[in-house]
This record gives sequence, C-alpha cells and structure tokens, in this order.
Amino acid sequence: MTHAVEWDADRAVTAIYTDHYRSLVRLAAFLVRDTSTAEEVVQDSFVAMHGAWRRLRDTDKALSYLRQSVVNRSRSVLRHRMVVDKNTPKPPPDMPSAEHGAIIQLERSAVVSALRSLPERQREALVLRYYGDLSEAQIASVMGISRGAVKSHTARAMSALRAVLERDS
Amino acid sequence: MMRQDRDYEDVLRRALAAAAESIEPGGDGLQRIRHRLDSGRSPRSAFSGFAESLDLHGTRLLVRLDPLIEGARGALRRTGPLSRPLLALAGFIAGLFSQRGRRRVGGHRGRRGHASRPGRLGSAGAWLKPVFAASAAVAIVVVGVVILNHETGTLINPANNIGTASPGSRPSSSPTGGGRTASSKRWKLPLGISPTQPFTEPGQHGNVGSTMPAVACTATPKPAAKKTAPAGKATTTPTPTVSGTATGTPTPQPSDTNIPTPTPTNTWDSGGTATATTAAMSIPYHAGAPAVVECGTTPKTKTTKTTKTPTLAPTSTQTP
Repeated sequence: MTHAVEWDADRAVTAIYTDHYRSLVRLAAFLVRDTSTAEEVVQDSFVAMHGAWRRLRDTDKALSYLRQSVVNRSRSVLRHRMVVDKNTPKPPPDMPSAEHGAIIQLERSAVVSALRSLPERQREALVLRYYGDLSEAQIASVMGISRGAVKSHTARAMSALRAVLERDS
Repeated sequence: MMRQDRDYEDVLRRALAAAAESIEPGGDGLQRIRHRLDSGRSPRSAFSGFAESLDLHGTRLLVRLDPLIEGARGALRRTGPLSRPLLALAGFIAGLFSQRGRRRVGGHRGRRGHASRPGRLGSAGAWLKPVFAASAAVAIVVVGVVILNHETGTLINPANNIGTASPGSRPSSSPTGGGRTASSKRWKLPLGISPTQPFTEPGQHGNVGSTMPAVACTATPKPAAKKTAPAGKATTTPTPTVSGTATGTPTPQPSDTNIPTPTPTNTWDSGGTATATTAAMSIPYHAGAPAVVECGTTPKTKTTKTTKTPTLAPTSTQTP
C-alpha cells in the first residue's frame, strides 16, 4: 500500500514538474524576486507535495497545493530576508549583492519595478491574478484569505501601480 | 475609468508575461527534487527494510523453533493445570507460526496485494507481529527449560527420594524415636523392608523375635553426633556397630553421619518402628543396651569411613 502511494507520488511529481514547474518558478520569482531562491522554493514545495500525496491523490489538488505552498514559502523567504537585512550591514554601493543579477532581469520592465514597490499581499494578489490567471476564489484559497479581501488587495494594488506608472511616465 | 483599468490590466498582464519569459529555471530541477526525496526517504526506507528483514528472520526463527515449541508444550502439558495459561500462549504462538509459515512457504510470494494486506494489528503494526511472536516464543522456551530442569532435577536427584533434608527441614524426633516415617512423601524404604517389619536379630542372643531398639534415622546434613552427643560423654557400653556397605541403589548409606548417636533422651523404643534403615545395616544387639540411633544420611558424602565403630554410650541411666 505504501509502495503504491509512493509510486503514484513519484509519477505525480514527474507529471506536474513537466507541466507546471517553469510557471511555478516564475511565480515564485515574482514573489521573492530571485530566480535561484524561487527554484528552491518550488522544489521544496514539490517535496512537500510528494509527502502529502496520500492526502491529495489528485493532480488538480496537487497543483493547488503547490501554488499555496509556493506562496507560503515565498512569504517565509521574504520574512527571513527582512530579518537578515535588518541585522546585516549594508554592502558598499560599488559591490553588487548576490541577488543583484536576478533582480535586474525582473526590473527590466517598469511595470515589474512598480510591482516591486507594492506591499506583499497586493503583489501576491496581482501576480496570481494577472500572471497565474487564477480566479478570485483560487486566489483566496492560495493566499488563505477571503474573496472580499482578494478584491480589496487587487483593487488597491492596481490603483497603486497605476499611480506609480503615471508618475514615472 | 473602466476602460483605463482594463488597459492597465492588459499592460500588467503583458509586462508580467514578458518578464516571466526572461526567467528560465535550471534544467536539473527534477534531479534536485528526486535527490531531496531520496535523502528524506532514506531513514524511512531503512526502517521499512529493517522491519521487512525482521519479519522474514522472525518467521525463519519460528520455523526452526517449532520442534522446540512443541517440546515445551509437551513439558508444560505434563506439569499440570497450572500451566494452562502457558499452554494457551504456546498454542497461540504455534498457530500464529503455522499461519505465517503456510503463508510464507505456501507460494504466495510476489503477490503485492496479499503482502500488503493489513493484519489484526493493522497496517502500521504489521511489523510488530514477528517481534511479538519471537519474544513470546523465547519466553515460552525459557519457561519450558526451567520447568524441564526442575523436573529432571527432581527425577534424577536421589536425595529427593531418599530423604536428603535441607538444613531447614530436619525432622524432629518423635517420641517413638522415628523421624520421618515411611509414609512420608519423600522418604522411601528400600525394597524388601516394610515399614512395620520388626527388626530382629535371630541368633545373636537366642532371642528370636525380640525387637531391636528403635533406630531412628533422621536425615541430617551434618553429623548429628557432634550436636547431640558430645564425644566426651560417650563412655559406656552400648556399642552399636555400623557396618555399612554402599549399594548401588540410592539408599541411606552409613557414613560419617551414620554414626549412631544417642539422643539426649535415651528413650527406648521397643515397638520396632525402624523407620528407615538399610538391609546392609546391622546393629548388634546387646542386651539392655539402648540404641536409639540417629542416622543422618547425606548421600553426597563419600562412604570412606563406614567401618568405623564408634563407641558411644549415653551418659544417663538406661532403663529399658
């Protein structure tokens, strides 16, 4: 029985990796603003999904689980990063940080740079809504908030983004 | 306003798509995931492998212990009703073993569904069954060995039948001079001697049919003479001669401890209640000589001094 579940979990990991790994990494990269960290986040989520496969046993549920896990882990990464940034001395201006190269890729677009300035929840809502093409219910499920909160976060994020883009333009 | 919002939404969607196109994850993501899965799975797989090997070896051990278990069951059956719980446990173990052995040996190998079917303990406790069975079998074997040892010790040890008395079980002398009687459980007379047979010495004094003084042979692990009759007081006539010969049968042989010792009371017992003596033991009858003899018997001591003729006499007045 255990062998069968593990075998199914292995198959599910392979299948979901083939179809959704790249999009999940990109989603995580929008949230954590770092490609390598995004990859680690998604891989950890896959491992967690493999462990929870006995409970999931469905590809759709597994994908939803993966998205939720990616968002939660991205939050943890950002939280940890905030603590680290508070306690470490800032590098000299002429010395780029390790994340600098990855961030530059995301900042090529003014929209993406404006997105970076948004609060965390608003950024999540916008990324999930306009990159992930999720419905409000799905976003609510992934973020762990109500649909009304999703609407609120999305509306505030859009107005803030518009203000930034109009200011820059 | 709505149109402007839609424009911003489209701009945001295109910008996110364009930015995402520039993000390309590494190609070794699946290998990394599998490596992480394997590293996290290794303790679990090691545990499951240990459980499976334990199951297999437990079954093999039970197969080899089957005759032993049957022997233990037989021994337990002989011990009586007190061993019924142990018998039931042994039956349970044997039944468990036979079912498992049949399942193992009977050709169900390789059937995945059969192997993964949870037992009475459930799927989580399936590996507990061989452990429990092996421990119970070991416990039964230990109990059986103990019982067998006890039984063989009882059967082989001649002292148990002949009256090897432990220091704490020294029989007290009865007024008739007898210690343990023949009807005692662990006291058996040799063949040819009845418990009530009068002990006569025909032809020594022409007093055929007269009874000998009572010879009270009590089992004492230590020479009783040293305790009951100090050597300094043994001065006078009654001289019971003990000429013991060692026989093959476990009989009380005269030895150091067979030295006739007068009891402090020096009572006569003419009732012929020689309770335990050997056929080879002959005590010459002297007229009027009281010979209440206490024969301690220790079968384990060697009979090297059996021909001693101790001269013992009670110091008190002897009135038959």
